[in-house]
Amino acid sequence: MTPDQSNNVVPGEGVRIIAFLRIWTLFYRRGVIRFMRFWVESLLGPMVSTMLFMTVFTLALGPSDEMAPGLSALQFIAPGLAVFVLSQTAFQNVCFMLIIDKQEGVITDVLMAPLSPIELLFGYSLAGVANALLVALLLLGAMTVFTGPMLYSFAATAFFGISAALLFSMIGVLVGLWSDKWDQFSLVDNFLVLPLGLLSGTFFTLDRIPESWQWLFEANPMFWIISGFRYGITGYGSVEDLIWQGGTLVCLILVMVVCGWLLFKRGYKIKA
Amino acid sequence: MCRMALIDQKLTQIAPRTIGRVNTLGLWTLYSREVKRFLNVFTQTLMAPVITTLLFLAVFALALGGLSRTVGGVDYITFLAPGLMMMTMTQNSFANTSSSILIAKVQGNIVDILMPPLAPWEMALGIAAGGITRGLMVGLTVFFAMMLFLPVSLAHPLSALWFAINACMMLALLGMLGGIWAQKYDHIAAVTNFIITPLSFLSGTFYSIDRLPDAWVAVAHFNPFFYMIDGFRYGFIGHADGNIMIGAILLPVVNLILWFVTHRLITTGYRLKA
Repeated sequence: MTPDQSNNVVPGEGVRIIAFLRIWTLFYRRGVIRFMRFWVESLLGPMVSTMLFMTVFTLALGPSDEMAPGLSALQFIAPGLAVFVLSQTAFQNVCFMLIIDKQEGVITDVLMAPLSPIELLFGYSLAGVANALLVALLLLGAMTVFTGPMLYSFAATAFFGISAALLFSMIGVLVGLWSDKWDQFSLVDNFLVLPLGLLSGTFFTLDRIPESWQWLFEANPMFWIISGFRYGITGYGSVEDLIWQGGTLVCLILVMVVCGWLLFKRGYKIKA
Repeated sequence: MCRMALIDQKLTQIAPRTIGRVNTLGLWTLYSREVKRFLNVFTQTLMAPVITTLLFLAVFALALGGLSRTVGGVDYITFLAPGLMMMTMTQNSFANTSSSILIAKVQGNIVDILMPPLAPWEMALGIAAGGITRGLMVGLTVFFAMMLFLPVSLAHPLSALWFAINACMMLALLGMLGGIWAQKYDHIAAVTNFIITPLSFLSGTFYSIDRLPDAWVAVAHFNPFFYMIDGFRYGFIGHADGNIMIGAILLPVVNLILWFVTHRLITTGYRLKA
């Protein structure tokens, strides 16, 4: 006779693999409250630097330039810039949380709590997603000063915005777990995230690039994100491209989720 | 008798080291510490700024140069390159001195700089010189990297050098003031995000100042970054938006004032000594 396994459940832990309350605690009580406390850096900082960019572009371009048919240069640039800042914020926020927790040793408090690896993964990454989406919303609001109100398809905007935040939060989890020091984080930030964002078609259409180099841009996930997000805001771009770009993006996010889950499960660099 | 003389001699040999008017050894030690500090992480302090600057150049050239735009009688990219170089240099000078002092304060090893027999002016000079060195090294690296892609020419090398040194010195001193004033990393991040970056972005790096509405032209003339970038660019392309003599005199004067303020703060030990 085998003992009834279900009686072995620790009281209060529950039998569900993913518990909403546990994710919520890590996500909200720890993640969101943390970045709201530092709102000057986590919200105001990205806003100010992006608005500076817009101002500089306005002054450098002059009002009459057209980047794509029917779109002024600023209307073309604004959505790309917003979603790039969104991605970078997601990445940086998650990295900061993980690296600080590791360096100060408080990660043990999180590991001791009855959280499964998948809950850890989503608890950390969703805080990054929340910070990123908040920055993007504020930015899009502020940018209407330059561009006038624009929204073509809410569904496409939301889909690509959330996908970008999720993808870069997951990358942030991987990099945050891997980094022992700030050097490793800034290595990835400076030599991967920033180049991906700048060389992505935020600031120009692909026909400005020599044809032999265009594949490099088309293989850049940031390019898919920006094209999709820009389509959602302005309606510029082709829907067929967006479908495969969006599909590939979802696959990429799933791969990242699995990688992040495996790392938390193994306790990579966080458990002795 | 003979033995006593020997002991006497030994005693004079182990007398305290006398320091002249200038503690050259101490000053050199502090300076080389400052330089080694940033060279130790050269991927972050030299490579990253170079890559970022080149990316900015590529992006702005692709986004704006496609219309065969000219500014001040030269291609847009030729106009842009010196300004970007100067922006990077100043940001790095500021980052070096501010982070050096702030990290030392937070970690508590500031006492290692306060305890040795260094006069306040020697301490200020050593740290500031480290920041200037980083700014100039970043500038030189960016310069050589740009030469690979662009026909960079120097119309007035001495003018470029004068403005480069003065600008790096100003930001190194401002960085020291920031580092002394700040008590947390947030404080210095706020100064960088809300003062230094806006001033350097709105300085005429990306556009000629005559693009601005008249009222704003006057405001731009109160921005020290305008003079740095305008004068530095004059050294490259031989054309300036404003009068470069004003900047050439104004910058050293401002530096002198900043030097006295920094020296004063270190002497009194403001936020450095308990």
